[in-house]
Amino acid sequence: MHEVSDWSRVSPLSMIHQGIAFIRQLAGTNPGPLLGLLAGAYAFAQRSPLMLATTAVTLLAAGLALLVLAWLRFQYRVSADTIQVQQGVFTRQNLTLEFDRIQNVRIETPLYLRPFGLARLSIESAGSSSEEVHLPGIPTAHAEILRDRALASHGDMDADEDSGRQAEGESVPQHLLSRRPSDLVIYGISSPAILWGGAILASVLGAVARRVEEAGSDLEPLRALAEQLPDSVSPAWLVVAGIIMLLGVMTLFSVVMALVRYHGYRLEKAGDRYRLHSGLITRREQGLRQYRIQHVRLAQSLVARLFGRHHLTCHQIGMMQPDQPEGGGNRLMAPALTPEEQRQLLAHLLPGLPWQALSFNGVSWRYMLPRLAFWGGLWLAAVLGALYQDASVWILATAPLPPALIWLNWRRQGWCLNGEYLILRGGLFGCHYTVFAGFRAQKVRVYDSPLQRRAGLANLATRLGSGAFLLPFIRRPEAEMLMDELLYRMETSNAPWL
Amino acid sequence: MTTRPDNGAIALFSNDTLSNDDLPSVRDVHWQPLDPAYPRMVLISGAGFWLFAGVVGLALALAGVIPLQPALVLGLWLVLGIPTFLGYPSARVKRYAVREQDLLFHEGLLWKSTTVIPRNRIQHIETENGPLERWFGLVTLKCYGAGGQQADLVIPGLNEALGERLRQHLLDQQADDDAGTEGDDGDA
Repeated sequence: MHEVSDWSRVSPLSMIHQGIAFIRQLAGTNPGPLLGLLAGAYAFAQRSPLMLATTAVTLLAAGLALLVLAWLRFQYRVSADTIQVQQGVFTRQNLTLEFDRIQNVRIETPLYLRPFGLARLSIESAGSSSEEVHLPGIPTAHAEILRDRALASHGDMDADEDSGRQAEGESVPQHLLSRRPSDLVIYGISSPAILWGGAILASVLGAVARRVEEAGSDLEPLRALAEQLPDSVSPAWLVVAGIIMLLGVMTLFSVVMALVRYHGYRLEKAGDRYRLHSGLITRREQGLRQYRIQHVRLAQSLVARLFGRHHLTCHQIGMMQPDQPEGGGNRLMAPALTPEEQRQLLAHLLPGLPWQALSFNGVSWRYMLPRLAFWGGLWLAAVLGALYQDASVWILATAPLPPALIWLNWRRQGWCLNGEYLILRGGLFGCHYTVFAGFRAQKVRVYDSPLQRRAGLANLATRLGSGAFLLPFIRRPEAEMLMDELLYRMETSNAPWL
Repeated sequence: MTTRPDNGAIALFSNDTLSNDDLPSVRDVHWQPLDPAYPRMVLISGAGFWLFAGVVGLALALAGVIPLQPALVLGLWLVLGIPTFLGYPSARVKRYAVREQDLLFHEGLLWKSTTVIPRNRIQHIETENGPLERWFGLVTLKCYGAGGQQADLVIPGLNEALGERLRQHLLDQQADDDAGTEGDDGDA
């Protein structure tokens, strides 16, 4: 049982992966300085191309050398109950992960590793992100063996290790959910990623527009185009058409992303473990044990509401770290659920919660006051600006919009305590729910402002391993009751809460 | 916090209805004040910085290095003094409580807040003291939960000996807990 394998290296192909990861990180975390650097290099190149070329070649060579060194230095070793990793070019790091402490195991097969039968194995421990092991480029079969060993050795606390392993590994897993392309299209259209894409695109277009304005002469073709248009087409319509086109492009992009990311979606449950296979280019396998689920979130955007769908995510500890760009991360996603699918999945995820029969408590109408004050102030400033700058009256017409949205948002706020679960509701056009069992909480805070105190209100904030949640503007006795209840759940529960 | 009186009866599968009356409440907590030296320390450090910033700001304004009227700088300085000197009363109202099962901290003059972290949710504990704190013989106790970057509960202004005792007390409980769960696992 206590065999210890020798130190072994990952495939040299992992260097491709590391190189891509490095570039992605560089571009992803701080694109600003990188762009500046590129611009500087471009300007420099015009003056002294030879110098730049040598610098570039040197940098490239140094990067390659580092990659090779890093690969040579990266070694791992597996024993009966631990995995050890040595890495680091300049400072040597030694990391030992006990299988007991393993939180999550992920297998990914990116396109460039697939022909060689290689996969990337990620092992996350319960602790911080520094206690993570990534084995980029080990044989897929080996990765699967490692995964099974890692997951089997922990969590089998009930001494029925063999039966447990059989139930999880060899026996037929229960099929929970698969997604048709149409579901994924709906997810793509309605996913909030659109908003982010929109924000980025808008900022880029804004910069482009500014540039066009500055370079007045470049505007000539546009003006010529505008003159050729029939008179009935006003510039305002052009703007509207442009926005619609932009939305269309973004939607298309989001849909394609969803189709690529969740192609071949298959969610299974074996024993107490959920397993999710998905991905067209990078094939992913995510696993999550039932008792690791910290909170479940059901989200619905406006578009998803039109389709009557909800997107469900199961979160486990470590949501503090940003999500991975392709929507990987350490959460399990079930996109575009119909009410029936949602009901079935929730019955697995949140046993004993009568989802259909919940009745929610609202929050005080005073919730709207600070928001109204903020938007009112903004609007007032805009109106004053308009008075002095004789801008259009359109600003006046926008006045009812924020209050309507605030009202909608207030209507959505709510909470419900059912058995051990606390359910928080929020949203605007759609509705989203956050569900967690009380004993999962780690910290509770009740706070109020002077005005809230006069109205007998307070806010309840709680933090789980997977994120922090706020229940604003509830009556103070309710807040204290919830605090006492959560503390009672936390302090009397013996279940593992992480 | 003690367990409920009927705890024995609901030990296993329970579906207790919400019973806010028989739960121990945060309202009945016996709060402990922080060390009396703590408000003084806050006052001194705040005033020290404020005086320093004011003198430097005025000097720079008079010398014409920063393009602001000296009178304006003076006014700004006086206004900034308000939050600085509010530090003293707000340090005086900060208080903490140690219950059987959890640790509580209360703060705030106008925006009041009560934070509770159960002892079995504390992942690790730190005590910290900077130079000024050492001078006053104070420590800051920081409790960390899982999955976060920042401390979940920070109690400043504890007497050094008390801070150490508190830390040890909380660590003891953690050790008990670990032993308990190890035992439950039935393996090792």
